[in-house]
Amino acid sequence: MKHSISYDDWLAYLDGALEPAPADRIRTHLSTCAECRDLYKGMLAATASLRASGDAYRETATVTPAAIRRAREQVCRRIRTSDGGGTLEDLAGTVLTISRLRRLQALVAPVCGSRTAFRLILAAVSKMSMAPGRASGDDWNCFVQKLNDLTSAFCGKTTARLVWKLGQSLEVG
Amino acid sequence: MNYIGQAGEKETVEAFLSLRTEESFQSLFEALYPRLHRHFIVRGLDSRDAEELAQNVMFLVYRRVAQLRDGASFYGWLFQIARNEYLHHVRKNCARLATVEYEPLSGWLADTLPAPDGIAGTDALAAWLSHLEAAEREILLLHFAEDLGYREIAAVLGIPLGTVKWRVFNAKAKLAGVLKKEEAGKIG
Repeated sequence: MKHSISYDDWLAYLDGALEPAPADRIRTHLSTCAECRDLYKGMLAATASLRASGDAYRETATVTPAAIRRAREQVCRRIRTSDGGGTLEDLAGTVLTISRLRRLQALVAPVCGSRTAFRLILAAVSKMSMAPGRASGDDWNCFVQKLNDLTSAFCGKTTARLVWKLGQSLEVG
Repeated sequence: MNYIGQAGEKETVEAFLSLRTEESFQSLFEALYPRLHRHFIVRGLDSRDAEELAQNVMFLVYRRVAQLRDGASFYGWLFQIARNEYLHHVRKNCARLATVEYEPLSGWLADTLPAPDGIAGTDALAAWLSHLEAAEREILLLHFAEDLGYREIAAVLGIPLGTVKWRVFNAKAKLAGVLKKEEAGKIG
């Protein structure tokens, strides 16, 4: 706070983002206070110079299109080769919280083995994260259904039904 | 010029966040990779390390996009990942922790930035930042070099918005003082 102008207002005034009423108050103050006027002019000049330097830096420090293409291909290859790998933390989203997935993993592991449980959950989460649209509150059911489909394909319908019930129990809990 | 608002990039980000397909990711990659590469170069990494870290960040963006709760905070989230990658890299390579943060900045800018018309000096940004403390420099770099807003900077650094504003205010006040001294020196 300097001469009853908050630093928040100072910054907004410098950025030209302050509401008209407080901006008028500062303008009036600057017309009568030489100390603040000096500070304002100095900060304004510093801001302009920093902005110009930042712009120049961004325009000049570029990467060639060939280098971007090469890097992009490497990352895409990495994504493809790591598909289904990674960790639950990598893939957990807003609805598929890591604690919930871990609880489910603990429940499913005795049914079809810990490694299979982990892989099935990972694959189901993977499918969820790549589905079009954003995650919503109903996605847990959708996730459990995907897990059910995958379990059915790999471990049979009976196991899938059990896994589905375990998933449903977590929703209720 | 608002870099973030440049034509195409915003739409590219939105397209990826809603589609999350490999195709939309490739467009996102083209838009963001140069920024991330610069982000690491300006912090003193060589080109090879900058490439590796920028690729890591883009890989994590693809893998962790489901964790992003609000598309509006994409840039804060993105540069938070970049910062974590950078800190991890520095810790892994230990040693230079105290000096890597700023020292190479001046040299790199001086070597790579030709002086555009109307810009005073090739290393103007480095010269300005040299008057500030590390915490202030990091914030001003994110603000002026990466064009991030105060809210995004707070998310990247994991500090309150008020702290970001307070440090920006202090940094600018400090630089105003430097400017005043320089002018007094010229007159004297």
